[in-house]
Amino acid sequence: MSSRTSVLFLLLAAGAPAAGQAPAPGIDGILAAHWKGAGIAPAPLVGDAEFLRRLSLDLAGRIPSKAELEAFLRKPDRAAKIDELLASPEFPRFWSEVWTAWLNGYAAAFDSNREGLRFWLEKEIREGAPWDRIVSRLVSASGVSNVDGSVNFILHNGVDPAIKVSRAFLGIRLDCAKCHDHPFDRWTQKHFEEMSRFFATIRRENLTGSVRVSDASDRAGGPKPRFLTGSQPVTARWREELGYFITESRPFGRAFANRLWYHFMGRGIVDPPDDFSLRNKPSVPALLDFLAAEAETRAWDLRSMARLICLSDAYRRSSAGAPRDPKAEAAFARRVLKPLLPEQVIDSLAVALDSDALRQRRAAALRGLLGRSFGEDFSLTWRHRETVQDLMAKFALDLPAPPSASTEDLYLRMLSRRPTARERELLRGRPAAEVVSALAHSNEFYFGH
Amino acid sequence: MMTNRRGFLAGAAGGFFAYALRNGGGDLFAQAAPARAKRCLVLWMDGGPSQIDTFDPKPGEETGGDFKAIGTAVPGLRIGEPLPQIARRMDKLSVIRSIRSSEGDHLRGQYLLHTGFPLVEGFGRPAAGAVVSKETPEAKFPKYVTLGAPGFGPAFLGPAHAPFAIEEIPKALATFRALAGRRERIRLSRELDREFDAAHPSPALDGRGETVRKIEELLDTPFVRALDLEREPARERGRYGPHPFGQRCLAARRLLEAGATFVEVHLDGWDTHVENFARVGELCGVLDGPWAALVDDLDAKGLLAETVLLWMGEFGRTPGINARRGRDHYPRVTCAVVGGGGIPGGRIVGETDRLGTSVVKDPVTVPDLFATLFAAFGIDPARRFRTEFGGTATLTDGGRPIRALA
Amino acid sequence: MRLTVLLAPLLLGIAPQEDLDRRVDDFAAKIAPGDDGVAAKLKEALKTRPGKIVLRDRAEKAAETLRRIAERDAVPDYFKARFEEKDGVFRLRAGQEDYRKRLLGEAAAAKADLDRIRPVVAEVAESMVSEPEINARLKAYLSHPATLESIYHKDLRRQTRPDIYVLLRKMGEVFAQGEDGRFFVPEAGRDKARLYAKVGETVSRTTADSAAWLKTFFEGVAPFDELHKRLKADAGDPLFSGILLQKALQNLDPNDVDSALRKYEERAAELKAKLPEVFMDTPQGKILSENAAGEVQEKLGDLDRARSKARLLREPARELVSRLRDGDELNDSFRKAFGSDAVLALLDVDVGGEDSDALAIVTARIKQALRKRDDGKYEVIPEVAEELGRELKDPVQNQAKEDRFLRVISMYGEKMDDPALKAVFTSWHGRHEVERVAKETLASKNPDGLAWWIDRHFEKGADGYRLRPASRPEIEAIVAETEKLRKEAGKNELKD
Repeated sequence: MSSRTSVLFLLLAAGAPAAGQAPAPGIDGILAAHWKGAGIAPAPLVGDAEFLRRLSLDLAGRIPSKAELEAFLRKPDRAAKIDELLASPEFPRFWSEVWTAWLNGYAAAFDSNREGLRFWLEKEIREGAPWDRIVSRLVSASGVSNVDGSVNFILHNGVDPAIKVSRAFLGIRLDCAKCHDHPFDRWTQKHFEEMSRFFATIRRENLTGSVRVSDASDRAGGPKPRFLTGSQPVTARWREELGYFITESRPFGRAFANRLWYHFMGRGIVDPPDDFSLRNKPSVPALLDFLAAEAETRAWDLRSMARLICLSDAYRRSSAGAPRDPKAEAAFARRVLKPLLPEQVIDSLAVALDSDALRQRRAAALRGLLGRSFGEDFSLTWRHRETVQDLMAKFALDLPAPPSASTEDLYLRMLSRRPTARERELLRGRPAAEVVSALAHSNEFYFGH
Repeated sequence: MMTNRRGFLAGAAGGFFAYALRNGGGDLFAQAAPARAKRCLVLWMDGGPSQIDTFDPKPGEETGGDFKAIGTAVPGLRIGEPLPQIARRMDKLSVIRSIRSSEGDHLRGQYLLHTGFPLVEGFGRPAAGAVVSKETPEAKFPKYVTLGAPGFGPAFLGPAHAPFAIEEIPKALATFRALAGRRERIRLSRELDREFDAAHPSPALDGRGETVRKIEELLDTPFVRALDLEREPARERGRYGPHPFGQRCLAARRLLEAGATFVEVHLDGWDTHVENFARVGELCGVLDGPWAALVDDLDAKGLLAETVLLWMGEFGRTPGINARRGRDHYPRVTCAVVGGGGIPGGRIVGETDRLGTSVVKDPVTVPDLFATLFAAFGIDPARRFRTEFGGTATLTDGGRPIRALA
Repeated sequence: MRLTVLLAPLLLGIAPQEDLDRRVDDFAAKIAPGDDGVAAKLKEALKTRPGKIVLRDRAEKAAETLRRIAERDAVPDYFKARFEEKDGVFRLRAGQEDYRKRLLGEAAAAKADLDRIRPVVAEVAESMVSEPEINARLKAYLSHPATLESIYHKDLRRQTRPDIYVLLRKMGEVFAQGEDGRFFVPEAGRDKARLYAKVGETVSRTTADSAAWLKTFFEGVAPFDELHKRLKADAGDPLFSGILLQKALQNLDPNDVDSALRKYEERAAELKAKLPEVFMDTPQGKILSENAAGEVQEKLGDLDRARSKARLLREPARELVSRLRDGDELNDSFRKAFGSDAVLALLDVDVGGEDSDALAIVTARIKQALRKRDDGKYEVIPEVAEELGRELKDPVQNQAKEDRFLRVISMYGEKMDDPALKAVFTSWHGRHEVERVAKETLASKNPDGLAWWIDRHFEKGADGYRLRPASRPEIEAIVAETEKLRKEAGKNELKD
C-alpha cells in the first residue's frame, strides 16, 4: 500500500465494517438514491436457495450440492457462508481459471505456458495477494516461462502488449489507436505509440523448451514512453514503472471495481467492462466511485471486496420480472442473466450428479464444450456468443448416470429447488436419465440468475 | 482540438468522403460485376502445397524435383504429373502462378489466405466464407460449412455467420443422430423452461431460444441428409474414393446442392519439409480423383457455372530442395487454382522464372484473389462494414479483381 | 580484482521478482543509521514501491555488467573448472574422468564424420569457378579449414548426434533447468509430468509383457523364409511390440490420457487374441498367411527406423534422468520410462533415418546452391546467388574471427600435459566444444546484481549495513529518483 492510501486507511479503519458483519450501507444506499432519482422500482430480494446458488457459482465456480443447500436453508448465515467459500481451495482455483481465460484466452500461443500462468495466479489468490501486486507483477514479469508462471501473460500477448494491458487492467481499448486516431474516443496514435514503448525493453530469449523474458537496460534509450496519465519513467525499469503507474492510477481502481462488479452482478457499471470510453458512461457513476474508493481503502484485497459485494442487498436482487426493463437492469434494480462459463457447467454437473468420472474427464469435457474454432476469444469480446455448434456440443454431452430416481431429489441437486406441480406432472413416469438430461439442458441450469 | 476532430467526422457527409478518399474512394463508385456465382467450394491444402510439384512445374531444372510435367486439356499448359485427372479438366480451371505473399508463418499465412488480411491483434477479420454467408440470401441451412477443420471465424459479422465446423463426418452424423434421439429431451427442456423464460425476459435467452430453434431446424433440413453419404449410390460414392478427403468432397457437393453457400474442405499434410516428393505424390493421389469427380458432377448437374471452385493453401514452397528431400516455406511464390462461378477456365495467370524463385509477370496479391472471389458473387470488394467498436472495415485489403480472369 | 573474487558465489543467486522485494526489505531493515541522514533516508525510501523500483534499476544494471564480465571470462572459466594450472602446465582435475571420456569420444566421432565430408567438399571447392564474385566468395568460404567444422558443430551435429537439448525442446513444460545445471519439474508442470510418467509407465510395462508372450509364440513359428527368421529374432524386442501397438496412441489427447491408455492395453490384449488368426499351421510350425506378410514387412521397416531413433535417444535420455535433482518422487518413473526403447520411439523428436547421415545432408546442401557446368566445373546457381550472398556476408572477417578464437583456445591446449586433450584443444573441435559449453553455462546463470550492489556501497558490520563514505552521492541520487518517481505516479488521472 502506498503512503497516500495508508493514511486514508487509518482514517476509515474505525468506520470500516468488520469482516462478515453488517451489510454495506454504501452500495445499497447509493443505489436507493439513484433509483429514487430515476423513478425505478427495485425488484424484490431472492430467497436463500437462490442466493446460495449465485454465491457458489461466483466464488467456487459451481452450484451448491444438495447437502450444502439443506444445511444453508436450515441456518442461512450468509456472512459465514461467504467466509467459508472464500477460505476454500475452490475459490482460488476457479478465479485463476476465469482470469487466465480473460488474460490469455484458451489457446496456447507464442510458446506461452498457459497452465504456468494459471498455476501462478491460483497461488497468488490463495495467498491473498492484493490486486495491485498481481497486476504489477503481470505487467513487469521476468523469468523463464516454465518456472516463473507470471511471464506467460506478456509472452502470450507479446505482439501488442499495450493493447492487452490497457484493456485488462485499465478497461481502456487502445486497439483502434494503433492504426489511426480513434474515431470517437480520446485516444490517438501518439498515445498508443507512447504506451507501447514501455515494452521496448523486453528481451525474449528462446531457451530449449522454454522462453526467458527479461529487460535490457540498454534498450531504455531514445524517446521515453508515456503512460496514459502523462507519467514518464525515471529509471531504465520501464515495465516496472508502468506497473507502478497503472496501479497508482484512478482508472486502475475503477477498472478493478467494475470488473469485480461485472463478475458478481453479470453486468458492469461500465458495460462492456473493458470499454471505459467517452461514449460508454457508467450507469451509476456514484456507485463506481464508491467501489473504486473502497477497493483502494481495502488495499485491493480480493476477498474483502468480494465480501463487500456479496453482503449487499444489490447482490440479492431478483432477476425475475416481465416485461424486460433495460433501464432497471442498467441500474441494478433487477439482476441480469449471465450464461455459465464452461468451467462452471462442467463443475456444476459433477457436483449435482456426484460424478467422479466427470471430474476426471474435466479437461476433455471442457475441450468438448469449447470447441476449437479459431478466433473465439472470450477475453476479447467478454461475452461468449453461443453458436449453433456450441449449443449442439452441450446437448450432445454425455451425462453421467443419474444419482437417484426421485424427481424431487434431482431438482434439488440440479436447480437447488423443489419442482412445481406443473413440472412434476410434465415429468411423471419419465426415467431419471431423461429428467437429468432435461434439467441439464434447461436455461435455468445454464444461466446464472 | 479533440472536439474539432469528432465534429468533423460526426458530420456525416464530410466525414464519409474524407475517409473514403483516404482509402481509395474511387472504388466505392465502381460498378460491381453482375453476380453469377451462388456458391463456393474451397479445397484448402493445409501446410502450404508445393507449387512446383503441382501447378507450376519446372521440368529438367535443378529445382524441378522428381516429377515430370504432363500436358493438360489446355494447349500450352502443363502441370505436375501427380495430377493426371485434373490435367484433363484444366479447361474448366485457371491456374494463378503469381501470387506474392509475405506471410511465411503457418498461422499468419492461414489467416491471410482465409480472410484476405494480415493478422492484427485486436482487429479480427471475417473469413471469406463468413462474408459470402452474409452477402447471400438467408437460408434455414448453415451456409458456411467447413469439413475437416474448425474454420476461421466471422469476426464482426456476428455469430450467425460462424462456420459450421465438421471435423469428422461420421462423428458429426453420430452427434446429429444422438441429438435427433434427444429431441424429445430438448423439447422437454424447452417445455420446462417456459415459466422460467417468461419470468426472465432477456436477450441472452432469446438468443439461445433462437439457437435451439436453428438446431431443431437443422435436424429437419436436408443438411443432415446431405452429410449422410450412405444415401449416395455406391457407384457415385466410389468415384470419390474411400479416403476421408474424398468423402468430404462428396459431402461438400451434397451440401452445396442442398443449400450451403460456402463449403471448405481440408486436406492436411502439405507441410513437406521432409520427403516432399513421396508425400506430395501421396497427397495428389488423394486429391486428384475426388477433385476431378467434383468438377464432373457439378458440370453434369449444371451447377459449375454458379459454383466457384478454389484450390489453395497458405503459401508456396521453396524451389530449392533441402537436405531431407523436402521443400520449405516460400510465400513469395504462391499458387492457386480457380474456376467455375463465372470465372473462366483454361487460363494461366502470371509467370515465374526458370527455376521458380520469383514471380516475373503479372503479380497478384492475396487481396486481389479475394476481390476476384467476391466479384464473382457480385459483392463489391470495396464494401465497408461497421465493426463492433464502431469502426469501419473494408472487405478486402485494397484488392482488385484479377484482370486476366475477367 | 574484487569483481572476480565475488563472482563465484554471486553467480548462484536467483532473483525472481517476488524474492527480490523480500530481500530489499531485509536489507533495508538492516541499514545502520549513519551520522548524516542519508542512510536513514534510503531506509525510508526502500520501504516504498518507487524506492524498490529504483534500487532494482541499479541491481539490474549491475547484473548486466556482471553478465558481460561472465561472458568475457567464459573461456578462462571453462578451463579453470576442469584443469589445474601448476608451473605453467594444465592438468586435468580429479573427478573429471567422465568429462574426458565424453570429450574424446565426441572428438573421434566428429572426426569420423568430417573425414568423410572433407574430401567431397574439397573437391567441389577446388572445381569451382571464380567468376562471378559470389563464386569466389563461396570458394574461399568452403576452402577455409574452419568452415566445415563450424557447420558441423553448429548445425549437423544436432541432427546426427542428438543431445539432451533435443529432448528438452519438446519437454520444456515438464523439465526446467536450474542454476546448478540440474533439471527439475516446475510446480506448474507437475500434473503434466505425472501424465507423461503414466504414459511412459504403461507403454514400457505393456510392451514388455507383449514382448514376452510374442517371444513364446514365435518359438512355434517355422523359419520359413527371411521374413520369418527376422520375426523370430525380433519377436522378443519390446520395441517391436511398441510398433505393433503404437496406432492406439496416435493423436493422443492430453486431456483424456486415461482412455487412450486403456485403448493401448486393450489393443495389446486384442493383438494377443487375434495374432494366431493370421498364421496357418504346417508340419514344420506356423507360417504367416500371405496377405498378412505385406503388412508385417512394413512393420519391420518401421521397426528399423524406430530402432535407429531409440538408439540415438538412449544416451541423451539417460543423461537427462541422471541430471534430475534428487528427491523428486517422479524421478524413478522417468528413469523407468526412458529406459524403454518403446517409449523413446514414441517421443515427438525427429531423429533417426537417412537424415542422420552427415554426408547426405551436406551433399544435399551443395546441390541446393551449386550446379555442375558442362565443362565439369561448379558454379553457384544464379537464381540463388542473391540469397547466398546475403547469407555469406563477410567470410573473410568471419574467418579471421575463427582463427583468432582457435589461437586463444590453443594457448590453453599447448600447455596441457595429456596428449589426447592437447590434440583436441589445439584443434577446431576444442574451439567449438568450449564455445558450446560456455554458452550453455552462461544461459543458466543469473548474476545477483543486488548482492553486488549492496557490497559495493555498504559494509556489513555487527550493527548492520554501514554506508561507505564514497557511496554517499549514489545513495542521494537514489533517494532523489525515488521522490521523482513518486511524484510522477502522482499524475494519476487520464488526460485529454
